[in-house]
Amino acid sequence: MSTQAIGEKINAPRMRWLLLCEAAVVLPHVQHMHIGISLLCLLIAAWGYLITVRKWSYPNMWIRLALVIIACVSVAYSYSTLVGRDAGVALLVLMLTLKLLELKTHRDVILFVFLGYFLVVTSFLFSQSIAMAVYMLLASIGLTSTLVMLSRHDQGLHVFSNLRVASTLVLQAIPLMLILFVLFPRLPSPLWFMPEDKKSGVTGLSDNMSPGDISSLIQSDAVAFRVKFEQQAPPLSQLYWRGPVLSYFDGRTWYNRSLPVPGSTESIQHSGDKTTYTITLEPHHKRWLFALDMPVELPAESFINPDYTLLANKDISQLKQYTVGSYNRYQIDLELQYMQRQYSLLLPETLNPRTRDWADQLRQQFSDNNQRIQHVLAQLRQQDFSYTLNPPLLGRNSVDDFLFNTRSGFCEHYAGSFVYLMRLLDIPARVVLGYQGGEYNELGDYLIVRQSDAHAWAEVWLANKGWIRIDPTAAVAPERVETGIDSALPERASSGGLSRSSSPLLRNLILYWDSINYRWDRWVLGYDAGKQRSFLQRLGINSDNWQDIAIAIMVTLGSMVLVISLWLNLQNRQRHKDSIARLYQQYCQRLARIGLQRQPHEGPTDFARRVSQKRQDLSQEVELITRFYIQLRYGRNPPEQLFSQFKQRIRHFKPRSGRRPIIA
Amino acid sequence: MSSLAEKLSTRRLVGPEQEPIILHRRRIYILPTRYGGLFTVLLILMLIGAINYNNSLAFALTFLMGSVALVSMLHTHRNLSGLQIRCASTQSVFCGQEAEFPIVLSNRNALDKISVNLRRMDNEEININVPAASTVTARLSVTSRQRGRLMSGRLKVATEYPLGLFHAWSWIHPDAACTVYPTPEKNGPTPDFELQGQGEGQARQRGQDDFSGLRRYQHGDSIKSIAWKQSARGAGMFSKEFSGTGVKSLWLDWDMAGSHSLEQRLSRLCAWILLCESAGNEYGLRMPGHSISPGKGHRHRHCCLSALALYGSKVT
Repeated sequence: MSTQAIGEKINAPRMRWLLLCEAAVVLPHVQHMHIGISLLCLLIAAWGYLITVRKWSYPNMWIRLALVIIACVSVAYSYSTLVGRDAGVALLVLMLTLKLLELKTHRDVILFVFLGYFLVVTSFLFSQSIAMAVYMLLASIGLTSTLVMLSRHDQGLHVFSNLRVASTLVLQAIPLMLILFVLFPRLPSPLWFMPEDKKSGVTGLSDNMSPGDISSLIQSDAVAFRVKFEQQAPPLSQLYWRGPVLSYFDGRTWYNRSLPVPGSTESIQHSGDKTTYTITLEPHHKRWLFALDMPVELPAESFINPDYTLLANKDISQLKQYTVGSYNRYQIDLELQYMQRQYSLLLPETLNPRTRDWADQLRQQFSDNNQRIQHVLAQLRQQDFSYTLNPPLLGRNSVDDFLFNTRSGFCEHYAGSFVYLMRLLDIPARVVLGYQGGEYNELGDYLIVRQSDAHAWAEVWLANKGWIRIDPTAAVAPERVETGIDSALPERASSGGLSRSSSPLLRNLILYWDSINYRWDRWVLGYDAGKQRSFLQRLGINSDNWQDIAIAIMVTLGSMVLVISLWLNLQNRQRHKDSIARLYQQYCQRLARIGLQRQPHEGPTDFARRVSQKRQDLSQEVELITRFYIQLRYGRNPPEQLFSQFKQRIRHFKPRSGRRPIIA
Repeated sequence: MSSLAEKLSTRRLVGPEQEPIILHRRRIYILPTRYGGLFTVLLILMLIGAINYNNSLAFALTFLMGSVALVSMLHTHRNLSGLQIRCASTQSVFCGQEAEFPIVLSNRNALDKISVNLRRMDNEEININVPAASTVTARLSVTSRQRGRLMSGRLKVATEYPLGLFHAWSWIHPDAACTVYPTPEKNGPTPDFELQGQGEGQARQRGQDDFSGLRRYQHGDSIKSIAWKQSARGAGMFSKEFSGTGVKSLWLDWDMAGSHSLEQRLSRLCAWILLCESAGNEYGLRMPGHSISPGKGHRHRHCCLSALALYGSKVT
């Protein structure tokens, strides 16, 4: 039943509304689409608008075909592919816009709306924030109201009335959606693997480090991950979140060259307290899973490489939750293999002559490696080294420059130079990247680790002790590890660090918002196969049994649909008018009980007359009730209090059989 | 819609029903439209995407849209249920004119019924809104193609509101018919009138010459003959009666309209009746096996024309 005649053009107000819908669903994509594609869309949309408003003719099939080819070519040119997420979305946006040029029939408009829904879903591939979810919910209501508009037979717009209907539908659908969201079986792995899109502009650690890398990361308040401890959280100064290990130095940059193969956790000899915690890691498109030194109980689908970095089986391209158990006292690699030892001592020749001299001097001055290390740390502490976010640029001999000239730097300078010096002293050493500390959010009882908590430290290998963590930054600026980055860097706190700003109200607001985001991440975005299994287990449903789940879905969904359907019928009932009829019927039944049956042909007045004739004693009451009834039922705007009076009369109307009332 | 659904949904309906027809849930059928089917395909694609990217919000939106479709089914059903339908009396038409079936739709519910579609035999249709607690009349016009009784027949009441994803319908069979008179012949011969009752025996003959008294107004009396002064007193309408010689009481005879075919003959008689009526003459109709004594006025005219319309048909 197509209510709109075939071939009829869509009118201008409707076209404006469709353009608004299109703008709403395309807007979130504009920021990551190529600018050329956006401009092309704008051009096509303007054309579509003019077709409707200026009554231009629709482009014929050949022109449309040419436009489709142009769209494909421009997407292929901009993204050098037609498949994958980014190119696919760009293509979808173009197709939706091209649909504006052929909105001739009812069917075209419906297809346009359906494409719009699809575009809404794709925007979640880019962002799943609360704001995006709310925005897209509103956009879906807008699209749904377009369907409402199309199902009406008239050509009007009825924006508000349609939006109200659409919102009602969506609100009533939300309980059903929640049931499906919780119960619909989630798969632990995808049906097939999607090609990964190149991710640009994600802030996070990279697998190399040159001077200035981390200090630029420090500017970002973006959350790296959030941690929920099962027990009391360890003090901030002990929270070293281990990331990639950098062992290769080319004179300026440290590189991670470790192979992504499993090492063995058996070489870890651990003791002391175990800390168990769950990390909700924001996607960083690398394989590292950050963990406290030293992770022993590993999450599923992960392993520890020979550098003791926890790695996932694939890139973290989505929010990832995992639980790790770590021990704070540990010994690793008591025996260092020859190859690894050589590798951990490798240095470029000839650079940094002054540092080499100092190393020779240290070698002569102390006999023991331990003493040499202590001396270097003491030098860092005592000399006029400063910890700053904006260190001066370094020359070719960067370590020399730093240790003897500028003497101001950031953690990467300290860690890099320290490891360099250690290697000159024949002590195997390496740089470890990761995060240090975090901010405790009392509102949600969890720790927020931001990009600004990024840190670099050193590990040295000593005989009989294995690899030992040494943080040279802590020697220069102990407050960095004890209380966090802002107390160590006053310039940062004043410049950007919103979350740690001085206003306590603002800080609390930010922490509150963060705790909401954390819950969102944990329970909504992180609701996966594992979470589902444990949640269903608590409800007594075995999630391995597909039949159980199917039954659970059908029963809950069915009863919910029943409730909604009853609710809809209740809404539909005319309560007031119905109750008038019901009360009158009650009155008729009472009269029938004493032998005065109302005949089908008898109107209320005729019936009252007959009753009055037969029972003089009831006549007054019966006439009153009948008058009220007629006034309520057929009168124009009966007074409000009349209904309650009518109700009371009926309630007290209890005729008894017998001609005369009994007089005692 | 598949023919199977049509067959199943019309199974209960064998003949005209008692009015008013109430669309209760046992006689409302509902199936997805082809857009509903397309929407399902869209949802499946969205679900596959959500599973593959393991994207929680994509899951949520897919489930939300699926649930919206499910809820819209209940709304579509509600948009029809409880509607009371009857057919008001029809106006007779001449064959070839548009016959109108005034379908009276009453909505006793608290919510409006929007875009209800009434359709007769996949041809004529009309869309109408029935606001809450009110009654509207949908005039379903049907082109009359042959004289006789034009039955409303089976009507389909349907709706796709609010989303167009579901089609709810109910078949109704109102007991409504429209009399279709034969088409009056154009430019046919005027009848060779057979005058009757010219003798003296007629005590009172109505004419237009001399005023002879007042009588109660009858439907069909000429507007010129109404006694406005007397009628204005509020005791009812009166017509003036005149007596005179101008009375012509005519017999329109079947044999007079001798012509080639039955339908032509009926057309000619029809044209004559109209002619007599407009001239203000009294006329009678004589047909094989049936005769209507002379008279005039609206009712008489209808009586004669109906006789022509139904000539030869079993229904009388």
